[in-house]
Amino acid sequence: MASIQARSRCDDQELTRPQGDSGEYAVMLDGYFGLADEAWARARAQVQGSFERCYKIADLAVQLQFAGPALLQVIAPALDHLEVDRLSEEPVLTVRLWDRASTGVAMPPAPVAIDDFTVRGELVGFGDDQHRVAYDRQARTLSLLRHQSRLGWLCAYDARAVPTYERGAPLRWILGWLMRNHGRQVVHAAGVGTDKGSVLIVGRGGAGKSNTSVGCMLSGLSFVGDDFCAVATIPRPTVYSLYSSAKLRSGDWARLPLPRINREDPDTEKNLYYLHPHYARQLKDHIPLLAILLPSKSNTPRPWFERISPRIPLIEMASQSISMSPNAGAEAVTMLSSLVRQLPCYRFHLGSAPALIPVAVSDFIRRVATTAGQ
Amino acid sequence: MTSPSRFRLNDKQAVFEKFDDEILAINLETGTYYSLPGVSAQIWSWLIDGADVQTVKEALITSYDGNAHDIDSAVTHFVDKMRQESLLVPVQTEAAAASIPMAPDTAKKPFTHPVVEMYTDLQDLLLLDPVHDVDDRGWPVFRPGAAATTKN
Repeated sequence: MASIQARSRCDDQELTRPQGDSGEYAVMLDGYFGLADEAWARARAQVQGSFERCYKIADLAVQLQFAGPALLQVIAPALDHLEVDRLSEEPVLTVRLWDRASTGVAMPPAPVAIDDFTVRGELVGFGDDQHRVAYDRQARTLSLLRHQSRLGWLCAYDARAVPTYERGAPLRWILGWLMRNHGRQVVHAAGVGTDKGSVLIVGRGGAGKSNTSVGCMLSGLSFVGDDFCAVATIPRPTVYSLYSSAKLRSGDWARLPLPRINREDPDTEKNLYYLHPHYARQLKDHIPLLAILLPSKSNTPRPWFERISPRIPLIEMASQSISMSPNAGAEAVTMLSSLVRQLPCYRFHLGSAPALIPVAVSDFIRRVATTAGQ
Repeated sequence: MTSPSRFRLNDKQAVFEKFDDEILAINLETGTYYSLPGVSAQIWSWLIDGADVQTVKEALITSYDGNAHDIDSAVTHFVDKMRQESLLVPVQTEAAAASIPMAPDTAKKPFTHPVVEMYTDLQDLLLLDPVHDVDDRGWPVFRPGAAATTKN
């Protein structure tokens, strides 16, 4: 991993990180964030205005301000189910978004050298607890968050080139920082439930999260998310919806009667669907959690559930959270550890008859809720 | 030069959780996670609670049925391994080491060698070299064909 560097580059001037003075360093970071805000203002002027959208995401008031329509069309659809007409309180976060291609305004110059970018997006040596910075080199998007001012920025190189994974789960890094600052944690997991409660379905790509959650939704269960959700443990374990998107492969057993959004080759890229407004009745912004499931492929005729140690889903969730989220570390593990200790954990043997999975999940939730006295 | 005798969690780089008689430790920089079951969890817990290495060895010899030399060697090897993996770091302190309370009159259990199970499947995600192309503003550009490592 690249070692921590003390240098930064900003507008072609070499900036030196003040030695041993966090106050001066914060001023330097504020200066860089100021450049980002100036760039957003210029972008907004270029396209003659901005589009504003308000959301309640994991019970947090969030406002997005788009410079022009290009990114609006890419970012907003996956969040549509959480949009509100107006916020009754001050937003805990306002994110200002623009793209270079449609506005002609570039993101500020990279403040670190090429060797200081980590695979999960951090800029080593640049940022602190108040200032979060990450860059997705595949999506070519820069994410910034300044907690104290409740402001975030997202700049994309070209809205038209934003990849499918980002369209399905937009702003994930900024929301991840926000959630962590408010006692929540973004997890690579699906969430489905009933009026009795919900289950968190964890596992790596290909484990069966999307098929199980979408299959359950098509059978009438409530849907919180198929790939990324937020979780909290206080006042009680709860799963929150982040996105209304679903990603399925063409050969998957769960099939949505919706047009796929993306145009990539269906043999190599999952199909992306937006479930809102088609399944608005089943999309829930949050549901209290009853259990954690780890799907496992099996050839048994029927699905079945096997109680497992909480350490197993913890490893799954912690490893995914750490690898996918810039700046995620010990506090994420601690939070997820608290979650798995509060909930029964099961290996969900999916069986060879997918049609039975939604009924099995529904029955399982009913049984666990009864045991829990709900 | 004497070896350090007391250790603490390297909390700048590692985190651990205890589940029943197992410790789950994660090196956040390398992505390696470790399962420490049984005797390993016991040694880890005593060290984290402030016992020194010699006290841990004596407690194991007292409570386990095994060759004292083997136990001594196993603890030394375990501590070396935890240091090598950057999970434990030495503590420099003048304070008295914690004692280990022993349950009276309990039958000795057979000593089993402390096991350290390592899982490195996350390392590829966290340690790949960054690409070495930049755009006109100094931002990295994804190189076609390079692994997209953190997406699902």
